[in-house]
This record gives sequence, structure tokens and C-alpha cells, in this order.
Amino acid sequence: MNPEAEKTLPERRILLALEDGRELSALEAALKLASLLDASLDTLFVEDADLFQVAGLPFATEIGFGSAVGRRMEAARLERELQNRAQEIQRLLERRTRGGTLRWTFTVTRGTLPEAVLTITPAADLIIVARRGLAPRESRRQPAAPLAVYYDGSEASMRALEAAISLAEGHPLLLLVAPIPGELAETVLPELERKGVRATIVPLEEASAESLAVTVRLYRAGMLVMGDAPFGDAALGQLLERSGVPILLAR
Amino acid sequence: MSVEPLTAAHLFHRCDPAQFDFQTTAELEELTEVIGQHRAIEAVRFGVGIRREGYNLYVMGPPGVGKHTLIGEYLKERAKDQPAPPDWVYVNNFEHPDKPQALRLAAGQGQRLRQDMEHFIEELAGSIPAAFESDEYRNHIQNIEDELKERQEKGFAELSEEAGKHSIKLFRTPSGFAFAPMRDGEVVGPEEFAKWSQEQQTRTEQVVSVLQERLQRILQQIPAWRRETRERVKALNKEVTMSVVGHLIDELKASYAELPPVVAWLDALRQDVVDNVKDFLKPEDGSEGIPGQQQESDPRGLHRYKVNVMVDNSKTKGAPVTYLDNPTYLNLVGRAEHVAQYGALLTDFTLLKPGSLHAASGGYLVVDAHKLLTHVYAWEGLKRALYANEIRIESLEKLLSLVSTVSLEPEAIPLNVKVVLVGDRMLYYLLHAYDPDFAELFKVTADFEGEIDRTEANNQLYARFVATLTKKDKLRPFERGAVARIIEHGARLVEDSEKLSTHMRSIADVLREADYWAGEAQRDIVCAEDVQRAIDHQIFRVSRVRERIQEEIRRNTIYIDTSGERVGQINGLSVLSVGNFAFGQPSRITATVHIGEGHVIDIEREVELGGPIHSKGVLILSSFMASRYAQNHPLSLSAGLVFEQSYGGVDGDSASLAELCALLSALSGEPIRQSFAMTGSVNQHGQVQPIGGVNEKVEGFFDVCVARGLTGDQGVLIPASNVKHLMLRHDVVQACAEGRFRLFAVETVDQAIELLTGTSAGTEDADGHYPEDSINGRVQARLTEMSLIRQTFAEQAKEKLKGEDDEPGIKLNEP
Repeated sequence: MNPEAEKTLPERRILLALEDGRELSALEAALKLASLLDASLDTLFVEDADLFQVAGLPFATEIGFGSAVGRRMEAARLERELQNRAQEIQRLLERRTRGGTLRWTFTVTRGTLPEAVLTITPAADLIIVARRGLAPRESRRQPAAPLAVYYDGSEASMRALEAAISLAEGHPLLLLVAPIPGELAETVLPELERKGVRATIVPLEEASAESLAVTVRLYRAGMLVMGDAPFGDAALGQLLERSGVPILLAR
Repeated sequence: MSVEPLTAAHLFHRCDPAQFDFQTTAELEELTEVIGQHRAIEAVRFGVGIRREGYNLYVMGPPGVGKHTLIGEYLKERAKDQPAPPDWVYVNNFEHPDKPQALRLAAGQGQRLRQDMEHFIEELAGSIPAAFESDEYRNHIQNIEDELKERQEKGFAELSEEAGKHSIKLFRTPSGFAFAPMRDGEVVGPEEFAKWSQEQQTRTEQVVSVLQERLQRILQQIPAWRRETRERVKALNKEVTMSVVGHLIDELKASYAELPPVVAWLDALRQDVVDNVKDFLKPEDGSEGIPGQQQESDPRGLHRYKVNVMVDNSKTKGAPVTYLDNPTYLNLVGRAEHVAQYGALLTDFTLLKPGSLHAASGGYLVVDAHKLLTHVYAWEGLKRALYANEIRIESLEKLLSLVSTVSLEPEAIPLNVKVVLVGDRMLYYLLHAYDPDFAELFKVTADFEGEIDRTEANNQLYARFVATLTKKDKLRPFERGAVARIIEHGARLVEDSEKLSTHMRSIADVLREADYWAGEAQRDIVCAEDVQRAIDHQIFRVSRVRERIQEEIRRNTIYIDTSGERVGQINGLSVLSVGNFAFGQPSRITATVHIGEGHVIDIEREVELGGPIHSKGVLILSSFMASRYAQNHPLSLSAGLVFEQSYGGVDGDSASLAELCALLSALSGEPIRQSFAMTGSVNQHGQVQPIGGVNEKVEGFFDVCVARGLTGDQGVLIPASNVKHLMLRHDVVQACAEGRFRLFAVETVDQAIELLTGTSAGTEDADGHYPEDSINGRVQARLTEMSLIRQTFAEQAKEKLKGEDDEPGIKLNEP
């Protein structure tokens, strides 16, 4: 934690939880929101505890992504690699906030990402969770990937929509709704139009984590923004895994 | 045998103004020809007219005779009716960028193509980025990349599903993937796994092993999928690019349809644009620009579509006439310039610069021969171009194999030029003697005369030349008396009363300066007085050295007697040149004699201050002495000849007559009148031969005599054959007319010695003897006496040696 942050913490806090130092889109979004909202940024790097369990198995083998070569999986090497990743993201944060007023902390913990977000971390106004996906990241920038917002008319989803508008900056919004709330056409859409935000309404088949994840993947969204655990805490892990994109939770 | 002094009429060939029927030059028509250069003009006409290989011209003659003017005006006149040559441009060779391609276009089309390509580049720079930023393109790209992503995800999803059927989960590790068994949604840790039965463990490991093999196959496929994606992106890029560039190129091709090489180049250009479309796109920070293609750091990227106009004849009327003032190798054949980029020097076809051969091709190139030969490799470069009939731009360092860096090898451009070298005669003779290529390449010689006959017709041309220059340079008109004085000066310049100088630069200088002095005198017309003042002032400005020498003679620091008589001493005359000013200076020559072996010692030669021609003169007079006086006995004479107080080199034979007279004086004992100076060379028969600089020499001695006071006895002996060269100063002529100074023209050494000593030279009788009291008789007697003395001395020495041999005693060579 930087010394400034230790003295007085502001009311608004953003939590960035990630398990891969190379999920730059989540980091960029967190920095941007922190700046816009004048919030502090708590960064939580989660070392996946399951990987250490795997490494302990007698037949544990890691198949290299680039080489496709199998090698013995060792806990010590895994720990070193995760530490390196953590240091990478900490250095990146230092670089990006140098000379600015943003207050930030950086913490490393071991566990599972959803668990860490929901139980370990302190209360935060916004939580951004980025999980390491199965499919390898393509290095090329996705041009104007839309932001998907789950809107159910609740207070939390309103906050989610506000956060998404702050992040949009030219990117189109996908308003994922199930069913279509009544006030959407009356208040929300005119407000978006007033702010110059392009938005497309996408009805979900059903209000479930599964349906949400499928739709996010279908529309190639760059991030999913929603209120605080609309489908329960347990669904967060499933959403992270199935959607394959970082998730922003507006509490 | 008496020789009379020359009359004033012999000393100066006056130009009578009455021969002119004009009052001032304002009445005269301008001269359209060069005076007296008929031969040169004919040669130029022939050389320029003949269109055969090797028929280039060498125009030679003294500097200042109007060679450049004549050549320049003639070529311009001839070139104006000839067709303008084609344009030549260099364009990029897309297959071999280091070998730029040359394209030939009709006159004026080079600039058009250059502008067309500038517009083409501008158009593409806007259209291509627009096409690549369109939603259509982005959607296509998105689809292609989505397919790749889907392939990968599908592969992993199917694998995960297959693993799930066996309660196995695929984990993403920091560097790859790993499989582990699951139970109740939790990873089976090592402790729990150890508790499993051996059979269960083995089965799990086998399943994991199979899954790992499948995973490896998927991972091995990913590079191929990516490669396929890149190829599809490239194909899409080409398609998009072609949609933009295709119609633009088609329009250009239609515009240049009559030029197949240009059309072929445009086709190659189109393909290059398609292959290198990235150069038209500005990459965003941190991005790759166009998918599937690597961004190249090349700020000069789009330059390759430009057109470098090497020969632009858009404004040329007729054939070009080019004068190359600074004929360096690079200025002749062109160069490849470089730009510094990141510490390295880079070049491309746009940095090729034409030389004068490019500009002159299809016309004429005029080059100063001396300048050409003094610039390193310029002559070699010109010869190579003329032999090959093409211009090939090669850097000197490459030509000499000094460096081996990558450079350009532009395609050679055909050369069709008539080269006119302008130079002096010496260079022409040297080139002819030492460079066999010269005769091959410069078959026509135009030889300019340095002088012309002083006829009445030429006088009239001179007058018109004066009129032409006064009008051209906006000078005051010259009255006819001034013109006459100019003509007299023209004769003096060539040291010949019967010739006129064609050195028009010198004449023009006098005209301009005379105009200045007329202005100073507030006259509207230049008169003879102004011309004289101009001539005098020219001399005054450069005569410091002459004045110093004259002063030292007056002060008797330099010994020159102008009165009295001396044996073996005479006033010789020499000419000193200081820059473009020459003046005469008297020098004391002395001769001493003694008994010897018949050698005349040239002291100047002995100390290596005498040149070969001077030595030749001394040997000739030795031969004359032996021939005339030593027919019946050996020439038992040793003599010494020297230019007294001479501390520099002496050359020429114009003092040989004076040296002979000094020698005759020393042998005869007859003193020479010091009131005389003389000049002239002598041959083996005692005949006096002409010399150069007669006017300066006479004036040099005259000035010394004037400083000492003219007595009427003073004078100069000159060769009779030099009388026609006399164009002496007015004051010299005046003094001679008044009998205060005299000039004698002599034809033989006998005439000269008689004048110098006042004693008869004597005529040889039938027995070969001269009268005893004549100069020749005394010389003959003295030489006979010297021969006898030498003979007697030799006999006595022989007797003495014999006596010594007869003396008793031990001989050194006895054992």
C-alpha cells in the first residue's frame, strides 16, 4: 500500500481482482473509473490455490501454450511465475499512477477469485473481476468491442449502467434485459441518447447467469457490467468462467 | 657597310583616322561576326553539323579571343530550329529498388507524370485509410478473427467437456494448461489422490494422458489456424486496396497508353501498393496497423511512388545548349545524394540528381577544357559517357571501388550530345599526344587565330567591333581618332605593326576604361586622348616592379653604363613578365678570354641559371668563332660569358648577338660604346635573327637613357627582321625623330660590331685574312697568337716530362 493511501481512505473504493497480470483491459477500466469517480483503487492479485493442488499431484504435467510441450508441473516454479505476474502488475500500476493523485493499494492473496472477491476483500463500491480464460488471448486489439450491461431496473443495475456509461467512451453499449423493464423506454434510453451513448437492447432468454454468459459471448462483448450479484454469489464464478470477459460489479 | 638609324616611320605604324568615313562609332552598324576567325568558324560549322560518333569539337586559341562568345552564339542560333529532346525520369524499380528505372517521355511529359503521381499518392493517402476504417472492412476482419477465436474456444470447450465426462478439469496455468481430477467441484489434492486405489489412480493418469495428447494436438493446430487467419486478412487487405487503387491506376494507364514502359511501370506500381498498403496507414500507438502485416519503420515509404524528373524540357525551345561552368565528375554525370536517418546515410531514386550531360542530351554541351582536366575523374567520366553513348550515374567511391556499401545502380539514360571543349592549344597538343581517346572522341578542331592582318578592311571591322561593344556595354561613342588609337594598340598587343590582335577581351578592357576616363574628363565622346590615358593607366597600375628596377639602375645599384666605352662589356636587353605586363630591362653582359681548349663557358649554364635555348645560343656563337677564325689552327681559346647581376634564370637566345660582340671586343681589345644596347640572336654564319619583345626592350633602354639624360649618341641595335614589329611608344618615336635617340637595324654581326666600336669589321681576303686594323683582323691575330702560345707551351711541357724520365734513380714501378 502506498503511504498516502494509508492515511485517509476516501469513501468511494474500487476493487480490482485478477489472477493474471496480463488482463490489461480490466486494469485500464479500473484506472479510468478511479480517475473519473475520484475513488481509490484496491488491487487484489489472487494466486489460484487450485493450481497448487494440481501441482502436487504425482502426474501433474503442464502443457506449454506456445510450444505444446509437456513438462513436469512444480509448485515452486508455479509460485515463482505467479509472483512475477503479481510484480508485473504492481509495477504497471506504479508507472500509470506516477505523478497523479490516485490512491491505490496492491495485495496478493491465495484462493479462488470469486471467493476472494466475495469474502476476503473489504467492501467496495465497484468491483472489477478478471479471470484468466481458457482460450489464449489474441494480441490484437479488438476494435470497439461493446460493453455489456445487465439491466433489471434495480438500484444496483442503475449504478452498473452509470459505470458503463463512464467507461463507454465511444464503445457501444449492449443493454441485456430480461424481461424489459417498463422504465427503459421512458427514462433510460432518452438519458443515454442525451449523453450520446449508442446502446442496443438485447433481450435475454431468461434472467439467469447461464443466459447472460451465452449472450455476452455471442455479442463479443469486451466486459460485462452488472449490479451486485444479481444471480447470487455462487453464480459469479460461473459467469466469470462461461462469459470469458472481465466483470464489473456495481454495489 | 654603314648602317643608318631607322626613321620615325619605321618605329611606329600609325593608323590614319582619315581612312574612316564616320565621325563616331555611333554611326556604325553592329558587328555580327567574330573578326578574322574564318577558319575557326568553318570548323565549328562543320563540327556542329556532322552528326557522327566522335565528331565532337575542341575549340582552341589564346584566351580572350572570343571563343566562348562565338561558340555560344553559333550553337544558340543553330539549336533554336532543332526539336526539343525528350524528358527522362527515374522511377522506382519495384523488383530491384537499388536499380531505379529510367522512363523516356515526350518533352514536357515528365513534369506531368510527376504531378500525376503526386496526386495519385495524395488520393491514396486519403482513400486507403478510409477504406480500412470502414465498417465493412472492420466487420470482415472481426468475422475472420472471430472464426479463429471460435476455433480455439471450440477446441478447448470440447476438450473440457470430454475431460468433464471423466471428472477431470482443464486448468489454465501461467504458462500453459494442466489436467487434474475433480470431486464434488473441488480439485482432488495430492493427499486425497494418494488415498485412491492403485487402479483408480492408474485409470485417472491414463485418462489425463490421453487428454494431454489431445490438448497438444489442439495447441499444435493453433499456429496453423493463425497463419490461415493472417492469409485471409492479407487477402482481404489486397481486395480492399485493389478496390481503391485499381481505378486510379486504370485512369493513369489510359492517360499514358501511348507509352508502354510507363504503362508497365504503373502495373508494377499497383501491385506494390497492394503489397505494401501499410505504408498508407498511420499506425495507432501500440497497435500493429493492419492485421496480418508487420509495420515497417520507413518514413520515406511513399517516396517510392514518386517520379524524379531528371530531364525536364517542358520549357526548352529547340535543342538545349548547356555551358558547364564547374565540370566536376558529379556535375557532369549526376549524383545520388543521401539523407541522414538514425545515423545512417540513405538514398533512393528520388535523390538522384542530374548532371549537365542529362541537361545537354539532344543538344550541345560546352565545357572549359582546363577546368575539366583539373577536376578529378571528370575527363574520364565524360569519355566513358561519350564512348558508351549513355549516362550512368555512379558515385566516385564506387567507381574506384573504395567502398562496398549498398548504393544505387540507376538504369543508364541514352546520351546524344555534341560536346564542345574550349581550351588553349597546349592542352590540345598534350591531349593528342598522351590520350589516344581524345583523337577518337574529338575529331574536329576549331583553331582561333590570335592575330589578323592589319588591312584596311580589318581596320573597318575593328571599328565596328568598337561600335558593337559600346552599344552592348552602353559606353560613350568613340570618335574615329580614338578608334585609330585602338587599332594601333591592337597592333602593339601582338608586337607587330602589320597585324592586329584578336584578343578582344584586352581591347574591350581598354574601351571600357577609355569610356571611364572620358567620363572623368566630362566628355560625351571618347577621344584618342582617353584611349591613351586608359593604356597608360593600365601600364601604370602594374608597373611597380619596372619602376623599382629603373630606380636601381639610376642609383647605380644595378650597373648599366649609358656612356663611355668598355672592352668586353655590352648592354644586353631582356624582357621580364610580371603577370600580364611585360617590360624591357637592360643587363650588362661581359666577356673574358684566355688561352684554353676552345670552349666558351656559359657561366649561367654552369650554375644552372641558364636555360637550354640560351646555351644553344652560346654554342652557336662558339661555332661561329671557330668557323670564322680557326680554319688553320686550333681554337685555343677559353672564354667566359656572364649576365652580370643576374640572380634568376636566363633563357632565350636573344642575347647571343650581344654576347658575340662582347667576345669579339674582348679578343680584339676594341672597346664597345656603352651608349648602345642591343638585342638579337645570331646564327653560325654571323647573320642576325629576329627576337621577341623588341618594343619592350627598346623602351626599357630608352627609359634608362631618359633618366640619365638623352645625349643623341644613345640607341639600340635590333635585328633588321624585327623592324616590322616595331610599334614603339610615342615618346620613343618622338626622341628618335628629333635625333635624341637612335635605332639601328642590323643584319650581320659585322654591322653590329662596327656600330658598337666605330671600327671597321674588315672583309676577308682571298687568303682568308682580314685587314690587320679591323676587328676581325685583330681577333684573328689574337687567336693565332693564342694558338701559338699554347703550342709552344705544350712542346715545353713535353720536353720537361721527357727530361724527368731520363733522370737516374729508382722508378716507382720497379720491383
